[in-house]
Amino acid sequence: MKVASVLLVLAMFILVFKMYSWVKSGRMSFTQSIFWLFVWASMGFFSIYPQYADLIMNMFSMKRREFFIIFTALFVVYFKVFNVHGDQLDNSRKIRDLYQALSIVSFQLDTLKKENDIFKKQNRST
Amino acid sequence: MKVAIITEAYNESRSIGRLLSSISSDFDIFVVDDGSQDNTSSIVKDYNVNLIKHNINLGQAMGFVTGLKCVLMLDYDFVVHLDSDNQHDPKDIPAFVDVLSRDNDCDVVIGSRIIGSQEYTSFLRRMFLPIFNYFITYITGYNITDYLCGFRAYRCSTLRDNMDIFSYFNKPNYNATEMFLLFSLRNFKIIEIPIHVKKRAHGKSTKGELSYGLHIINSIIRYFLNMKHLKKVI
Repeated sequence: MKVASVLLVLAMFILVFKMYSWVKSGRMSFTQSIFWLFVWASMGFFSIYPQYADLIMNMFSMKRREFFIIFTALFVVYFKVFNVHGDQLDNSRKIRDLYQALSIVSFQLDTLKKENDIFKKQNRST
Repeated sequence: MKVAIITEAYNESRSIGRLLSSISSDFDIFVVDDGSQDNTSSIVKDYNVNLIKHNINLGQAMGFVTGLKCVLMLDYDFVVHLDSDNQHDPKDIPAFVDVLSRDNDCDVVIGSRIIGSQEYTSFLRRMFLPIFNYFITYITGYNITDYLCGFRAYRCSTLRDNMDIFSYFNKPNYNATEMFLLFSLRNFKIIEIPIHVKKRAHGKSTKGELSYGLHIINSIIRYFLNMKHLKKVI
């Protein structure tokens, strides 16, 4: 095993433990961790057994291992960016809805205050 | 008949005062300050109107829905919407109310610059709006000449029964096309009346010409994608 492979496996273990602590503390949900667990596990596995990476590489008719690594990494990044973009759109909509609800509630409070003032004035005059 | 007027204002300190002073006191006015950074709110407070404030800029469509939600909680029969940039003439409001009060089946009254008059329109709008108008008329079956006009009046009872459609607004800044398409899915009775649209006196519109066109295309695509679902909700 090459030094680079050992370092990759070590990095994988560190990342898996980091993820474990995030799941434990509730920073990341278990379902979200599955994706990353799969990514880190694949990274460790292909570092130890590169011949399996060659096997998949041949399946996609790729001549060089570097291309395979770059292609896979780009796929993972694009997949994640796409998901994050979807989440961001969803969150901005939720924020807009919250701000809208806040405006309506403060308007209702203002109306109630005005009505209360009128009621107080009427009571004083009677 | 109780009538509410909704107008959204974003950095309209130079024109909002003129608009508010020209609206008849027979109507209750609801101004939605859509996160203005100038003194729009403080000007509005000088008038006897209801001020609803967005803490951040949410867009014209969101402003309209906020105003609408507040109005529909209260006991109003009709609600009229007009732009705060003084392009719409408040003198036309009684004509909108008149149509709704005379025709009990009418749900929405839309003002038309085409059958009425208009002081200014950009070259791009002049070029592309008739094409979009023709296409929207074809898919909805309504014979409306100016479905993009923001000067509209609504029957509150109809809106109370159909509030769910407003959650389908896609872009917070453009709602005229989307709203019109959604109304057509619910078979609203829509009547068009002529109005006079003035040239914008101050400032610039926040809506870009290109993004306006793209949004109309986006609204049409969404209409076809959601058509079945929205019809089921009825």
